[in-house]
Amino acid sequence: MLIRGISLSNFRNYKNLQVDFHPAYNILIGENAQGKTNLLEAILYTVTGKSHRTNNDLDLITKGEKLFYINLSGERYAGSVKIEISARADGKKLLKVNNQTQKKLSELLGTINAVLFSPEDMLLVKGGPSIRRRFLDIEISQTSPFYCHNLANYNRVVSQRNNLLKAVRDQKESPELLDVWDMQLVEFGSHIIKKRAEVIQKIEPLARSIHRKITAGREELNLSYIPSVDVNKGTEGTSMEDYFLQRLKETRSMEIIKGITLLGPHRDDIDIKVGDTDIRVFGSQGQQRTSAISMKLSEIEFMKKETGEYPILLLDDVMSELDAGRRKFLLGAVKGKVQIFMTTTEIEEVYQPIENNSRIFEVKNGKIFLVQEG
Amino acid sequence: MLYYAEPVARLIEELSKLPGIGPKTAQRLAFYILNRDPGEVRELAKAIVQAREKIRYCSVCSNLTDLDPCQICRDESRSRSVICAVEEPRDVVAIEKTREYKGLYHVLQGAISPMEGVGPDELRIKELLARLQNNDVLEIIVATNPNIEGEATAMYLARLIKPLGIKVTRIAHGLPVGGDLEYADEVTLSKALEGRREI
Repeated sequence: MLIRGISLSNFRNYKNLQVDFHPAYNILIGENAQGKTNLLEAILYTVTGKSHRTNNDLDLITKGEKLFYINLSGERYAGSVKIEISARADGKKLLKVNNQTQKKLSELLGTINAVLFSPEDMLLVKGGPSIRRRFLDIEISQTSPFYCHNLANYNRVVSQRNNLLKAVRDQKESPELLDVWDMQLVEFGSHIIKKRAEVIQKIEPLARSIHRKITAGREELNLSYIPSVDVNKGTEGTSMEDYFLQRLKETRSMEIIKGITLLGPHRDDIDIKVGDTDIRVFGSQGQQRTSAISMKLSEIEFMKKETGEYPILLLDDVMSELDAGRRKFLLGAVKGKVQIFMTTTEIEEVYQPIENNSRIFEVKNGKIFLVQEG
Repeated sequence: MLYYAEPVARLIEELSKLPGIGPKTAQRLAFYILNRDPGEVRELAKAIVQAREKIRYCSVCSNLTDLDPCQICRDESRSRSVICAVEEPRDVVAIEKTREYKGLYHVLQGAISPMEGVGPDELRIKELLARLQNNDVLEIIVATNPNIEGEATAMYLARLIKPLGIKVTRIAHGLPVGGDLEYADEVTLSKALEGRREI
């Protein structure tokens, strides 16, 4: 997949912008707060329907304007694709794919897949479990609409159930009412846990082989899923769903005291080991970064396996976080496979590995100038 | 600044409180009304007031009605052995339009939703249980919406009613009839696959 070009009007600090991209490397250089990340955000928003920085579309409209409009042209194996998306200050949103108006944002799923790598991803290893769950959820949602649907329903069941738990604690409702929410928690939750376990099994060998290359075979990465409810339990006669339900019953009195749901995929984690060491806690800074890169790069290979095409890769200010060796590896690993968009303040950080197969843009105060083409 | 004479402004204000009516539509409706014949407008006003005054909940099924019990509950030709439980009066209309269902209804007036403070006591569930006291009813069809609140309500009813020895069924969800498989969205299709049956 690749993006030929994009035009923006009234998006963040871009009044009017029309830019054509290089099929391999696109480098956006410029001082801070000039609009480099805004352009990556526009690309990500157009292909996923969501921004990675805000949930409110109003933040995306240039101050004082009534709407923004984005027009993106891309290419997939099936031919060219044109996506137009616009949002108005009154909350109305319009989406067109190949000139056809689409009612649902989910129609975008799979049109063009994108992987974003930002400095926050460095926290993938050393940060809290919610970051790792988010990593999995975004990855799986892009390839499975059913997972996306189950996840949305699951989250709603959890918040309904939490409200009820508090009401039960305050003796406003009877505890038996929890039963009907338990059943739905188990239904959606089990699906999520099984799917996550399956996906981790698929990405582990991918991440491990990338990790081996970065560390020149010195270190062995191991990923494993730590579900709050064991997927393999209940294989003798009873199903995982029955086991999940059983565990919920045992946990119920504690849940009522705390007023929150304590069991389910919203409490899961991924265990990340190098050799026998849990590097989430005991890894060096370098080990944590290398593992984070391996996991992100495995996401790219995973999508290729699932969809048959490589996604596009957005690197938001990642280069400055990495040393020369890891930078070279990162850019080399995806060379010739994916189209890359990266932001940086220093061109030296990226120049050497890309061998002129690129277009370099300078971003200055909401305008973009083509500096060099090679 | 005043754009409208006071009575016009008030009319627009009242109309814009209706669901689905924004300020622009309210203005359009107001000017339409002002251009009508006074007799016609009086008829409209009368219809609104009368509907509101005459309509109440049926003491049997909790549907909206001007007669108590309602037309459906009175209808001797309908089967007394099946009750279809729905969330809203408009769901009764939807099922009636099928012309396939010949049993009775029960309108729950909502679905269980702890987030909005709606528990079983806020719904017309006690009224439904009261109807099950005489032994005519053999089956309850639960036709609440296929979202998580509707499902929770359905499961709650099943747990409550099954021990009474009454059959509780849930309407199926899956593919729309007459459509092509290829046009079904992935979620509906996945659900339909899950709910497949032997033929």
